[in-house]
Amino acid sequence: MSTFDLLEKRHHVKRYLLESPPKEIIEKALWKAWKTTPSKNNGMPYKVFVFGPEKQKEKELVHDMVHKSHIRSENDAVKAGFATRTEGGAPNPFYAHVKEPGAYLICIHAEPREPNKFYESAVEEGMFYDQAHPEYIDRFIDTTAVEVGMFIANLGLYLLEENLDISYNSCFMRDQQKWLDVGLDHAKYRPVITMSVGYAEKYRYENLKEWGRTHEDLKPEYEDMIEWR
Amino acid sequence: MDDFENPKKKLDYFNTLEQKRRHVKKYHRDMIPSRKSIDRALYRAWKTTPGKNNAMPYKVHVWGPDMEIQKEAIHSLVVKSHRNVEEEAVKDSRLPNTIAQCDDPTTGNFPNPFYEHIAFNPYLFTIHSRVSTPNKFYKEKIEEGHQYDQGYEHLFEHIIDSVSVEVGIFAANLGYYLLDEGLDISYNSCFRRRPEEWHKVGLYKIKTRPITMISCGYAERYREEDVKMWGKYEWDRKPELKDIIEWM
Repeated sequence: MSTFDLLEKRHHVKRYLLESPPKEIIEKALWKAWKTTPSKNNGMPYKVFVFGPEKQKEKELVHDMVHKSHIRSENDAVKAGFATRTEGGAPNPFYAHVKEPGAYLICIHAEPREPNKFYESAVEEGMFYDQAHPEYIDRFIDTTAVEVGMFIANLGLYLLEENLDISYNSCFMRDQQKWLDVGLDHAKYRPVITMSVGYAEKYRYENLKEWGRTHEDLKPEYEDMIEWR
Repeated sequence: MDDFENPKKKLDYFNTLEQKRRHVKKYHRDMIPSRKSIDRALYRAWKTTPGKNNAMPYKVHVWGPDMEIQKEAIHSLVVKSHRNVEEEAVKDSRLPNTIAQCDDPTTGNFPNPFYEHIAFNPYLFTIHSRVSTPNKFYKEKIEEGHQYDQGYEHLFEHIIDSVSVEVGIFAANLGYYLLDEGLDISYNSCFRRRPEEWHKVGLYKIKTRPITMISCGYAERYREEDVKMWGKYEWDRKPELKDIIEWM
């Protein structure tokens, strides 16, 4: 199957099977993603934390935070005057993939890193190596996030090649202290994205089909996104 | 099915990235990839890149072979950004920086020669924030209280990390499809973020903040050839796998 067809088959997972993928498959995909994802100054200023199926408590904690973040975002919108109501705090069922027992949860956080030997010498000549400084994480978060996006695009593809399913989530608290406060001790720096991996039992689009609404949930037209100058 | 399936399929995804992607120092100026190849790669990237709420709150501007002046203007924003970042670092007392590369142009490090791919290329893609309009499904969700933050220009910076992750996924997919067409690509994330800076160099049609840029063409010389020539190839390594991945 071509890469295009493989990516066309990707769907957001509502629920995963209890059967977990073997750890070796996840390791192989992570290695391939590490090997083939480029980075400015070869810095890779982020870190990937993998929570296996046995880390249920941690996955529940992340899910709670996702739910709280969603509620807070809606409340903030009402307070700011660009929404008139919230959804009332009901948990979004399409976030459940984050805590599914059979799946892996991958959380990627920004993380400062020292330069390699090549860039060490460039720094001595006056180059500013922003990836090494925690105080510059927020300022360059767009650059780091683009690179993280490239990493998860590659990782996702390698996992799909292994007949696994994946789903992304970007709704969570950005302040790493909130993660530390609930006992997620790995969160030393700002989180960037989370991703789940497993064997799907049910996809989100199947719900939309049942509701007769697949034709309503379309992406923007190509012409709205691509403009030739 | 992919309408544009390439019958001369060569390498798989991993080997395409591993063997074919290299940062380009210089593109062939007289070898212009066909517009058909570019359109095909863009279509594939659009079709296969997912987005939160199906919003895709970004826009790709394609600067073709006839946009030479505009691409040189964009390159000037890259050089200006590099200079500013280094000068600010010298002023920031929290940092160890005491000199900037632009202080001594005789070293050949400024302007950085590896930014030249931004000025001289057949095609340049710059990806910018875009206010998204919700589709029918999310219009109804909004009426029920769903927060659709991609629909507001004043929230661009607030959601820039999640939009940038999506742009990264798009850029990775586009990059692969271009490599699959036999083309070379290079990324750049050093440039002025404010649209007003783009207007100062005559790029008035740019209304929203840029997020990343990618150049494309046929490479004449790769960066790694220079690094090898300097005997520093072994110095320029990415961090070890164990430093990036941690099993909990």
